[in-house]
Amino acid sequence: MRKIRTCLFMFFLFSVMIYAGNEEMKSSRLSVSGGVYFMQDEVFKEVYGDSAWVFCGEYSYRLPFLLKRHIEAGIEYRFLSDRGKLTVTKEPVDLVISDVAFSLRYLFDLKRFIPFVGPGLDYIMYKEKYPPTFPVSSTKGSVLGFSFQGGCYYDFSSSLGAKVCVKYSRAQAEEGLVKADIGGIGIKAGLVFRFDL
Amino acid sequence: MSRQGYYLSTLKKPTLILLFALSPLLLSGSMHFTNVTEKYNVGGYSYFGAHGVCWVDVNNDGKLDLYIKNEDAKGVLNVENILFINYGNIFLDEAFLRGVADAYPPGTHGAVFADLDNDKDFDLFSTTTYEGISPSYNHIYENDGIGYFQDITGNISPSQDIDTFSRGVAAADFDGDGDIDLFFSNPLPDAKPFRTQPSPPQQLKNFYMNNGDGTFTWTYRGIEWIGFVQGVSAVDIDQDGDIDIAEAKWAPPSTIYLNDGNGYFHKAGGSLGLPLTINVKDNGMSFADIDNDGDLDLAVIGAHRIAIYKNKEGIFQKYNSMSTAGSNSGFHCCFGDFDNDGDLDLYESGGYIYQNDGQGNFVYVSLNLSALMASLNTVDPRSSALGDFDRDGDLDIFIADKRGYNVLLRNDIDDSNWIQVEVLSDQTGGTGGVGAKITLYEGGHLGEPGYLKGFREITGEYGYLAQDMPAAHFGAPQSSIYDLKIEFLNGEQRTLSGIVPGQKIQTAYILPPVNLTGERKLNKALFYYENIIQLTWNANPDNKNITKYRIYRIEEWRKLDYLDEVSAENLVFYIRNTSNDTQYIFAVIAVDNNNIEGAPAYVTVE
Repeated sequence: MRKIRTCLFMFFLFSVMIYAGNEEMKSSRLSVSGGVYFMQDEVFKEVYGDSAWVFCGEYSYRLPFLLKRHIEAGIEYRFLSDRGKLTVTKEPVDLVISDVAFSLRYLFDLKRFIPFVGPGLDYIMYKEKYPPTFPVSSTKGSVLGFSFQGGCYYDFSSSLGAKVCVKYSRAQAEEGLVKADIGGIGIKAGLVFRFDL
Repeated sequence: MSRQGYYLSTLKKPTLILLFALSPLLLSGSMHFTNVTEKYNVGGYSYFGAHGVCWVDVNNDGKLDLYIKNEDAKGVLNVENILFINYGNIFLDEAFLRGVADAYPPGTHGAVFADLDNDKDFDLFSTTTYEGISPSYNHIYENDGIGYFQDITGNISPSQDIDTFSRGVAAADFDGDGDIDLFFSNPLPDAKPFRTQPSPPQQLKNFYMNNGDGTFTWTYRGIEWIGFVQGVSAVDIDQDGDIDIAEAKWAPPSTIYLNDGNGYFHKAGGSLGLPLTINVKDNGMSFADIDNDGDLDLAVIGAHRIAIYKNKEGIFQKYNSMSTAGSNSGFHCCFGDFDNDGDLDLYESGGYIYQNDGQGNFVYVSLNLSALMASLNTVDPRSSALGDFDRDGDLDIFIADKRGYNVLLRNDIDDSNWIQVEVLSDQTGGTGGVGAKITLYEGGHLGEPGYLKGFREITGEYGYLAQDMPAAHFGAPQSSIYDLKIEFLNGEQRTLSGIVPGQKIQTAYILPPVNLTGERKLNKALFYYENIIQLTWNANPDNKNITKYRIYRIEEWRKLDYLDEVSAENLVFYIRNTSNDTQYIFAVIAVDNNNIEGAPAYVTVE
């Protein structure tokens, strides 16, 4: 384990040293990240706990024609899966939430650090699966939500970088008489690959 | 002897006269009855014919119902028995509706209710008396829990093929295997002439032994037929932990048959001290502790006399004798604490009532005090049974009249000097507690013979075709508190201390769980909420060897609907698919390692 950490550190150090003198900006980014999602809904906390792991993949493109290329558009796929327990009988239930989010961000180019902020529109799909003793076997549906995110890219090189992001989303799902507030705060970090199409 | 019979004893004549002179003062205001036959509509039908009578709650509503066996009703064929359902302020005959009309052309005599399948309701064993029309078979009826019966006579094996002339019957766990067995008298079509003794005695099958699976085996267990039998009683006569049988006979002597512990019987003969009397025409033998010494004494009625025998260390010694009231009476006598003073008094069916002086001596209670004219006005009184039908803490009397309307006498004593004990479930898992011995002591002196205040043994039919309510009634003056010991047929005991008079104690071999609660809850997932009911309870610390709990829903009319069972460690149960607009009643029952169910705990969820 120590050897792997040493190798990674040496790789990033090398790429930084290489990038330090390169001013070229590639338009497309492909990022993979993982993190934690804190859902606002109180029942979610009772059933699944305070948070759930979330995994994301995103393609973003720095738009050439807007604000001197400070605007980036992105499309992100997010996946969340968790197992919880019914509040009274403590039987297992499984939750899967996946969403496709469209976002626009303003990029602040500060050499290697590129902070960003911007709104987004989320199309959220959910499915909850219940134990055999439950009156229904599963519930599934979809809902539109809004989000706002802020974060920062860090370019190790012209092709490789990192990303940290905090995203606040709002969405409310309704299943019959049950309303679930599936918005919340997600914190994630990951790797970014830059390229030109 | 004149109709105004007094007791005979070894007392000297001057003392006897003095006591007689003082007796009205001693007894003043102690007993009084009111004829409420018309008020409660229990006189029966104009064709009469009543013989046997049973007080029992057939529909589990907490009120005693009344079953009357009819025979030789004038001019009526296919005479039906009567099942009077107690609706509080009136009784209604629903025998046909509930499947126990049990009509046989000339009629029937004896019956007993007992929990034959251990499902906590009273099933029925009903005999038939052959009078020239075949078939004349006995019948077993299974209660569905709410007082509707199904004929399961076909579960007797081998199938009946002999007409019977049955009168008295008995129900008890004779072989100690955890279920109630059945005995019936006169297992042959013709017991006439009544006053002869066949020779040799006939070994006829007269038991239906319960196999525990809903079937019964018809068999012989040592009780020969040696002559016409009237009433049958089944109690632990020799106090050795099993149920013995006593037969009141007409030609041969009335006989006690002792159980060997495995359900096989042998004649006690003279070893118990009963006289060998020929042609006495005994109709009933009634066992009770008349002197509060913890054993069962005996009254034998027939031939216009009541003979009292005291039990002295297992030997029955003739104590005294009294004449019956009239030429038509003398079929049945019963013991009950009618004045709630702590000792058992004596009532002769269709005759007088006699107050116990505390030593087992019975003193005639004048009609001015007892108001028992209705008893004396019966035409041909047969059985009579004791039950607290109005639940006011005293013993009421129902008299079956073969040639007149039946009579219901309400006891008017109406005080709080009483304790009743009901066994909700016994060592078989069934209800009724047949064979349970219940002893009352002065508070703080549990188990001390010198402080014994009453002893009862729960039994089925006894005397002449009578079944009292399946609960023990004690007179218990309010000046004291009491301790209670219940000994089940398998020897296990329960004790209760510090009992205040004026209440009915419900006990069980396995006690109900405690702190049973039921709550409506929302069982939530993120996108779906389920309405459930959560039941929680605690284990009763007085129970042993509990392995699981069974959960039932009480449906309409108190029918038990089995839901599921959970292990003993799991003290919570969830009921799903419930409606928020419906009231639910649930029962939780503890089950021990022998699969014996205890008494239920109930909860209502609004």
